[in-house]
Amino acid sequence: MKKSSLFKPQRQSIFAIILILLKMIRLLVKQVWPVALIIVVNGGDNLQLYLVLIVAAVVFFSLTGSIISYLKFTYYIKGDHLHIEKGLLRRTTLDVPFERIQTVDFEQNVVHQLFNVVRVNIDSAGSKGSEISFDALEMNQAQAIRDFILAQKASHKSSEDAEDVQQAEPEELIVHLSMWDLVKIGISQNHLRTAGIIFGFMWALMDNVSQALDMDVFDLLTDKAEAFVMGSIIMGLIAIPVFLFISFLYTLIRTVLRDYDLKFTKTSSGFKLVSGLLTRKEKSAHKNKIQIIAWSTNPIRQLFKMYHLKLYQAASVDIIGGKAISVPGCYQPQIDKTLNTVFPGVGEVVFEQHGIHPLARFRFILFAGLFPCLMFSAVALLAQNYSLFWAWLYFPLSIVMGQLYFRKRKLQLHQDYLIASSGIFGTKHKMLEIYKMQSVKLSQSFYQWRKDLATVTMYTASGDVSIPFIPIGKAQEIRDYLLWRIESDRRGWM
Amino acid sequence: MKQQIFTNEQVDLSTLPSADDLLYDGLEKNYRRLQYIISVCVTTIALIGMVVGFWMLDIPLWIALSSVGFWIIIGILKLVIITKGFEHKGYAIRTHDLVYKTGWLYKKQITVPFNRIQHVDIKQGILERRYRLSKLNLYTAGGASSDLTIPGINIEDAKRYKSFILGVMESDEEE
Repeated sequence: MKKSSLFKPQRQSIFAIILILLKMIRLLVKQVWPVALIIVVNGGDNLQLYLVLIVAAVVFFSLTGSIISYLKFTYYIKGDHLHIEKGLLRRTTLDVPFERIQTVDFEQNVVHQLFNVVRVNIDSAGSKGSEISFDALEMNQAQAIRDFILAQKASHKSSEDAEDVQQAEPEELIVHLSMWDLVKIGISQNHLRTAGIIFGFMWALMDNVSQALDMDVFDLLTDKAEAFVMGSIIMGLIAIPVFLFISFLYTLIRTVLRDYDLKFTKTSSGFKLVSGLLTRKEKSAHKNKIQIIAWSTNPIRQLFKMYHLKLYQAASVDIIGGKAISVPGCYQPQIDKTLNTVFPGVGEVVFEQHGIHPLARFRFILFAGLFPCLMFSAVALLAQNYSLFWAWLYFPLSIVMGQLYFRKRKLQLHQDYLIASSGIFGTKHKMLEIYKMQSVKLSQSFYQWRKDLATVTMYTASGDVSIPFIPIGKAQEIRDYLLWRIESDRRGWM
Repeated sequence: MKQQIFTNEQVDLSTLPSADDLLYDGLEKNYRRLQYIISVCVTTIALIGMVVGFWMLDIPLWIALSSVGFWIIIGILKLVIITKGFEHKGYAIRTHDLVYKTGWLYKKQITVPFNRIQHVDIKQGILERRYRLSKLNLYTAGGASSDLTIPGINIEDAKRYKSFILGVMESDEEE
């Protein structure tokens, strides 16, 4: 590693041209394809000429664009800043102080892997759009920059902390997903959500096509569909398994692409996650910056005794989700291990259990069960369509759901930690350290106020946690305790 | 850095400072007056616009009257909400935090500890300036949902509170 080279202006790896080129082509194609489609469909004599022109234009613009933007992008380290100059038409100069840099993440798609370069994403705290990315840096250069930034950050903190960093604990692999794990994750994904994604994608596609061709694909489809109205039940019976199979296949492919060879490692300062088949992504999180740890499961995943683990870091609100370290397939011992790393000694502590008031169950059944059923009945009467009364079959289910909701929603309190749990069919736990909270809110709807109940909401730098239907006296006690712990603790929350 | 002064002590929960029996400071009366004025102006302008529109478009009288009546009722309701809401808004400053309560039908009480505040600022609109009112904003790292805005504070008071809070934040950092 030639460290001196970090301090004078320099460009990215020469392969960056290829990566910028690919990015630009993708962008241009996205913009241009409806036009191309119109030309192809409308035909005409000069069809081939037009197509050649379009392709030539796309290639020309993206090639010159990528070369210029490669030449115009320079960076170097200047004092305690990372200095970047870039821009085709408008020159932009960026100065990012090291102390503001939150994370330095690596990413490699197939092309990156081919040339042994990495995409580097740097997130600095604060305002929106604070993400800086390098399209391609040589591997050792990228590592040198990351090491340099992290070392600088460490020396900014008090000497005590710097010692902590130097006492490099050995890295320890916590989770390594096998192919069989991936299959299990694929099976236990939320297939309803996948259905939504597929549907949304098809809809957007059809919308695009119908705009481009100036004809209504939807009308065409519904015309066809109406012919089959009589057989719709049979179609449904066939469609459901077919759909489930497609959805399963789709989620499996997505899971493999995203989580292939996933390695979740404990590092000296926190955690590291590397995963992906075509695009290898590397994310890291500093232990102190983790604010909330969440682990959840759903009925199918429960059969495999698997959980989805997420570590939320402090970040600007719009990227909290993206900055979260997400391990979709985790077993209980691995979760315990992670919890113990972030909250040392948490395995032995005893939590005080606080359930929610039984009225929550009644309210759930009322709003999620009775009211929808009544609405369906009203529609049934008005429209004289009595088959809608079948909706009442859902009512007993809503009672079961209300019972599950009531049983699973609870707060577990310890003097230093807190776990909020929720769920109906699945279960979700969120754990945090009390002193890392930012503020506390008590709220009461009119109904809660009449029944002397309240909702406690706790805000952290990576999202909030709340627990409803707590008797007001207890809620106030919890609030007072939390505030006292926040205010009497001298540690920084990050 | 890592002293945990209180961690291992047995805590008697009944002796903890409570945020219930506080004497809340209400917002400035001028804030309510300003809200009344704005609300009356908006309703009046809307009504005038509506009457003119109905007259020009030749809408049947009963529709015109009932919609004007509807908007007058909405306007009166708005005044009731302002009056009732004002009674329920208030703030209290303690040694280590600031408490703000609001809500007539949906009650909220938010407490922001001073040692979690990122920065404090005061905002003042044109109309507010005329009544010497201002908004005190407290920002934490918890994102927009946990940031606290206290409206209707006299500008001089807001400045005093701001410098008090900044003082506490600074002395916190020195320790």
